[in-house]
Amino acid sequence: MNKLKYILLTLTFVFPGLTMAQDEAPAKSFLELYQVEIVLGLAVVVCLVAVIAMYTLLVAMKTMLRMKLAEDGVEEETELIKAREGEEGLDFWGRFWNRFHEAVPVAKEESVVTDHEYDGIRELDNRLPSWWLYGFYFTILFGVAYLINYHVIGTGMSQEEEYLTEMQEADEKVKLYLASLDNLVDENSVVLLTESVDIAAGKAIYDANCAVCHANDGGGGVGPNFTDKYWIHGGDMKSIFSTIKYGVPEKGMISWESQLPPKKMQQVASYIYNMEGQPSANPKEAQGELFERVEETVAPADSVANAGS
Amino acid sequence: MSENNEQELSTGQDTFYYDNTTVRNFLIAATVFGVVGMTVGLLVALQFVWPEANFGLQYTTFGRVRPLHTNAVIFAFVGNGIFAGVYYSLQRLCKTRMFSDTLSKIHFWGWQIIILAAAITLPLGLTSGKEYAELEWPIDIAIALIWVVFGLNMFMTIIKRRERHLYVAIWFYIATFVTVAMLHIVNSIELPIDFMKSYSWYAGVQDALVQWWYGHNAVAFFLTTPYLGLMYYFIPKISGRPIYSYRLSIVHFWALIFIYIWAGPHHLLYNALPDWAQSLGVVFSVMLIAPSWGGMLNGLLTLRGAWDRVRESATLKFMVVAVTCYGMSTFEGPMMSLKSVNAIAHFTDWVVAHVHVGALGWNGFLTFAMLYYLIPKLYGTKLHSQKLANAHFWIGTLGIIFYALPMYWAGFTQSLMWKQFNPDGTLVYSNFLETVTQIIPMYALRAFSGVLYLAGVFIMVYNLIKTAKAGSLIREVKAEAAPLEKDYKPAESEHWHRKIFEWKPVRMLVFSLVLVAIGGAIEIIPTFLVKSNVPTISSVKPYTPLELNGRDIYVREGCYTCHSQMIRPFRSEVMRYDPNDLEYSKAGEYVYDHPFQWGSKRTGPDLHRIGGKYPDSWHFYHMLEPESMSPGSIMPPYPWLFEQTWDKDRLPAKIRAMQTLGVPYAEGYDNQALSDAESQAKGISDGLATEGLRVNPDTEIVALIAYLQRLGTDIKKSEEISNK
Repeated sequence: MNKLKYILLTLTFVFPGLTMAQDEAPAKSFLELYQVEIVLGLAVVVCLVAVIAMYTLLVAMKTMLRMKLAEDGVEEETELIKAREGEEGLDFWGRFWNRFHEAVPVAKEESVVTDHEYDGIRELDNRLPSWWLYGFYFTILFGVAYLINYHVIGTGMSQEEEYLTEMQEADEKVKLYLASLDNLVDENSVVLLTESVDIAAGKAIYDANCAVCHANDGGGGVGPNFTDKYWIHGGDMKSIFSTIKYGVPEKGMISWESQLPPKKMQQVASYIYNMEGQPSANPKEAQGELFERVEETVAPADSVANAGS
Repeated sequence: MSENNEQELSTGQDTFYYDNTTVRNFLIAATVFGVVGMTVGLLVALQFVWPEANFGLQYTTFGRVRPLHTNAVIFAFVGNGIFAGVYYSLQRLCKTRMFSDTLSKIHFWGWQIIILAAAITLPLGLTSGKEYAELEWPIDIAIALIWVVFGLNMFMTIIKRRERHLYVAIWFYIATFVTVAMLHIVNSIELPIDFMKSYSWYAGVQDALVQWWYGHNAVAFFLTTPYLGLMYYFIPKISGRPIYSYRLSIVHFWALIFIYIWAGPHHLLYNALPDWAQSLGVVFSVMLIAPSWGGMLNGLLTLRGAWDRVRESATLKFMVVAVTCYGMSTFEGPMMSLKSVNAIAHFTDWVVAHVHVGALGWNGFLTFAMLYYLIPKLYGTKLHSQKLANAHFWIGTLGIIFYALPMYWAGFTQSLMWKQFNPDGTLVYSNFLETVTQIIPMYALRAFSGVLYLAGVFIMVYNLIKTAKAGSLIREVKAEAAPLEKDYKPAESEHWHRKIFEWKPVRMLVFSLVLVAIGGAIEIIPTFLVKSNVPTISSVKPYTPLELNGRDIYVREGCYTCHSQMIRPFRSEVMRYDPNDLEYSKAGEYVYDHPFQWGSKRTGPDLHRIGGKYPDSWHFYHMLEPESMSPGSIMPPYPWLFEQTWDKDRLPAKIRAMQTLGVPYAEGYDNQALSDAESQAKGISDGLATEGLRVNPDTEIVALIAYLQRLGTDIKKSEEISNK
C-alpha cells in the first residue's frame, strides 16, 4: 500500500495534471492530456542517450588514438602521464586547475616547450583544454542548429511572426480581463464619479499623462485651460470623456483609447470636470466658447467597489 | 633554437639600435589623451545627473561631447597605446629598428593632428552622424593615410627582420592593420557637399548594416586584436613565464579573426534588418566565446607559477584584471547577442555597462600595466612607487565595479519598466520619463565611479612623472643579431603553421584579409543587391528641403546619442510609441536616410513616430526648456536653435548630393528647393504665431520641428490610401 502511495505521489510530480484529471471526466486520451510532458520526457531521454553515446565515442577514439600513437612510436600520452608526476607540492586546487585544463605541470614544462624563442619569450605547447575545445564545437553545433531551426525548416518564428503572436495573445488576455470588470462605460453612458478614491485615481492619471500640456493645476500650456468656463469641445462629462477617448489629432490632442481603459478615462474625466473654477497659478487665456453646465448625473455610491481597478 | 643560434654565431652579428623615442612619445600621448578622454567621460556622466553641466553651451552639450568622449578614449587613448606597444615590441620581436624614422614621425604627429582635428570638429557639431565614425570626410581621409603609414612602417619592419619566424603578437598586429583599413574605408564612403559636410553613401538598412559591421569590428580589431598582441608580448615579458600553449594561439587567432567579422548584426537584433542577417549575427557571436576565451586562457595560464609575483607586482595585477575583464565581456557579449536577452538589453544602460567593463578593464588596465612596465625601462630606472601603483590598482578596480553594478541595475530596471503592462492592456509606466527619473541615482553612482577611476589615473601620472624624472630617456638601445640567411627552407619536421605562415608575412597578410573579407561580404552584398531585403513602401517619399535641413540639425546635435529611431516589433514598444496605429518600424521607411539614425541607446524615448504626436508648439516649448513640457527631464535646453538660422546657402548642393545618392527629387529641383523650404518654414512659423509664439521662420528650430513632425508619418499615408 505504501509503495503505491509513493508511486502515485511521484506521478503527481511528473504529471502535474494527473490528480486533478481523475476528478474530471476523462474526455481526452492519455496522449492528448500529457503531450507536453511526454515530449519533454522524451527530449530528456534523447539528450541523455546522446551524451552517453558521445562520451563512449570519445573514450573509444582516445583509446584508438593512443594505440595508433604507440604503434608510431609517439609517446605524447605517456609524456602527459609522466608530467603528472611533477605535481608534487601543488595543493588540491593547483592539481585540479592543471587537470581541468590538461596542462603539463610547471615543474615538467620543459617537456612541452617549443624550440623557438622571441625576445626572450618562450612558448609551451600545452594541449587545447578539452572543455574549451568541446565548448567551441558545441557553439558551432548550436549555430548550425539555430540556422536550421529558423531558416531551413522554419520551426523558429521570424520576428514578424513572433510579434503577431505576442500581440494576439496579449489581446485575448486583455479582453478576458476587461470582460470580467465593470469597465464598459462609453461616451453615452459615462457619468460623473464623486468618490474620493476615483478622484484620487483620476488625479494620478492626470499628473502622469495630461499635466505635461495642461499644467498640473489645469491652467493650460500647450493645451487649453480647464479652470475657466470656456471649453473648445464641450465641458460636460460626456464631451470631456469623448475628447479624451478619441482625441483631436489635428490640434495635437492624442487619442487615449488605447492607453487608458474606459474606467480610467472616466476617472480622469471626472477629475478634469472638477477643475473648472479652481485657482490656477498661470492660467492660459480662454479658448473656445462659454459653456453653461447643467447638473451631471452622478454615479451611484455602489460603483465604489470597482473604482480601484 | 640551438640550431639557429649556432648559425647566428658562425655568420657574425649585425649591430643596430632600437628606437625608444617614438615609443615614449606614443606613451605620453596615450596618457595625456587618456586623461582628457576620461575627464570628458566624467563630464558627460555628470550631465545625466545635472543637465546644467553642459554650461549652457552648445559645444559642451551631451550630443556633441559624447562622440568626443568615445573618439578620445578609443582612438586617442587606446590608439596611442596600441602604437606605443607595437613600436616597442615589434622592434624587439623582429630584432631590427623600425623601418623608417621619418615614417615613425609622420605616423606619430599625423595621428595627434587627427585627434586634435577631432577635438575641434566634434564640439562644433561637424559630424557624419555614424557612431564611432563621426569624423567628417577630410579627417577620414587623413586617418586612412596615416593608417597606411603605420601599416607600411610596420610591414617594412617585418620584411627587414632578423628573426625568421613571426611571433603570435605580430599575427595580431597584421590582422589589425588589414582589417581596420578595410572597415574604415568601406564605412566612411560618403559624398562631400563641402569641406566639412558629407552624407553617407549608404541609406537606412544598408547604412545600418555597414555601420555596425564597422562598429562591432572597431571593438574587435581596434580594441581587441591589437591588445591581444600586446598581451602576448607583455604578459610573458613582465612575468618571465613562457606562453602557455602555442597551438592554442594558432587556433584562437584564426578562429577569432574569421568569426568576429560576422557578428556585427547583433547590434541590430529585432531591428529592421532582414531576419537571416540577424541570425548570422547571433550564431557567430555565440561561436565567438571559445576563440575569445582562448586568448584569456593563454594569458592567465601563462601566469601559472607566477601567481606569487602577482601578489606583489601592481603591473601584473593590472594585467590579470585586464585579461579577466576581457574574459567576462567576451562571454557577456555573446549572451547579449541571444535575441531573447537582447530584447531586454538593447537600448539600455546594460550595453553601456558591458562596453565599460571592456574599456575600463581590458583596455584601460592593460594600458596601465604597459605604462608601469615601459616607463621605468625607457628611462633606465625603477618605478617611483610600487605603493602608489597598488593604490591606483585598487582604486581603479573599485571604479570599474562602481561603474558596472549601477549601470546593470539601471539597465534591468529601465528595461523591465518599459515592458510592464497592466492587466487591462495599458503600460504601467506609459510616461517614458518615469523610467528615466527612476534610475538617476544610478547615474549619480556611475559618475562617482568615474571620479574614482580618474583619480587612479592621476595617481599613475604623478608616479610616472616621478619615475621619468629619476632617470633619463634611453633614446637608442643597442642590440645585436645575425641577419637572416638568404635561402631558407623550413625543415620537414617543422610545425605546419610555421612552415606555411610564420616566415611569410605577406602570405599572412593576404590570408588574413581574405578571411575577414568573407563574413562582411556574405552579409553586406545580399543586403544591397537582393530587393526583398528592404521591401519598399510606396508612400515613403523624400524629405522636403526644410526637413532635410532639420535632419542635418538633428545629426549635428547628436540626438541619436540619446534617442533611437527604431521601434522594435514588441507589444511594449508599439503600445508606447505608436499607440493608435500600432506600427513598428519597417525597413522601407528608411530608404532616404543618409545616414541612418536608429541610435543604440534610449536615454530618452524613441522618436521614430514622433511626427504628428504633439503640436508644433509642444516641440517649441520642449526644445527651449524641456522641463516645461516634461518636468524632471534630463534633456538639456537647446536655446541656440532659436537664434541660429538654418543653412540656406548649401541647400541646393544638399539636394544635388541627395540626387546623386539616388533620392528621387525631380530634375532641377535644387533650384526650387530654397523657396519650398522658406514657404514651409513660414507655414510653421505662422502656425506657431496663432498660439502666440513668435518665431523667425529662418531659425533652426523651425527646420527641426519640420523634420520631427515628418518622422515616421509616411507609412500611415499608405494606410489612408488603402483604407479609402
